[in-house]
Amino acid sequence: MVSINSIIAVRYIDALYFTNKNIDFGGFPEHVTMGRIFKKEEDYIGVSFSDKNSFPQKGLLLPTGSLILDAKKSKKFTPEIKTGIVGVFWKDITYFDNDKLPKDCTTIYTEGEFFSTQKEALIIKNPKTIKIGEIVSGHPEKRKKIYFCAIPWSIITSIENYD
Amino acid sequence: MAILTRDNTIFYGLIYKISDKSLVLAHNFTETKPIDSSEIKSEDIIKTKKIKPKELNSL
Repeated sequence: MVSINSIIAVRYIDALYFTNKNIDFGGFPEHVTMGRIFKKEEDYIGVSFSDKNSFPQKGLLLPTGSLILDAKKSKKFTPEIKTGIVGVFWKDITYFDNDKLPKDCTTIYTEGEFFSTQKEALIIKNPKTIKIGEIVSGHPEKRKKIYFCAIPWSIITSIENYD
Repeated sequence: MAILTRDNTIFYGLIYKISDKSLVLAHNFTETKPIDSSEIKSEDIIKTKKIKPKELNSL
């Protein structure tokens, strides 16, 4: 694993939202982020895009489960979900700027109808997503109707089944 | 790539565009070949005159 102050290019995956009524999930696209590692915790790493006086000004907090290098090591859920409403807590990729460094990745709660499980993802139909706690995040506000959400197993922290 | 500017800010990223007056450093993007500008999620446009004539590091 890379060390603090390394300049890196790291690949990661993120949750996917679908605005079409028919879902066509073929896996998660690979995102790349380039910067300096300024923090390395058990649950996440911090990547700085710019530094002033060695202090990160803008960057990302990436849950370790989102890192492609770590995908094989990540815990995977094997939930017994078949139908009904589910609520999923997961850690989001968290963007920061203006020196406002968050303490942790933003926790997201997504609730909706269970649709399917895939090798890489839990897919929820008609999802409603809210953020938990202090919000310093690049998570885009979705104005279009979202029909499906695919969440990588590796960034899910817990699942509630309401039926 | 790491770029040091005259106000002592260091920017990290991939040089996406370059001209006589500025360059664009992409920090966060979805991997496509070639990189599609619509897939860049975070970038900085750095005026060339702000850049110190010194390359800090190479990725």
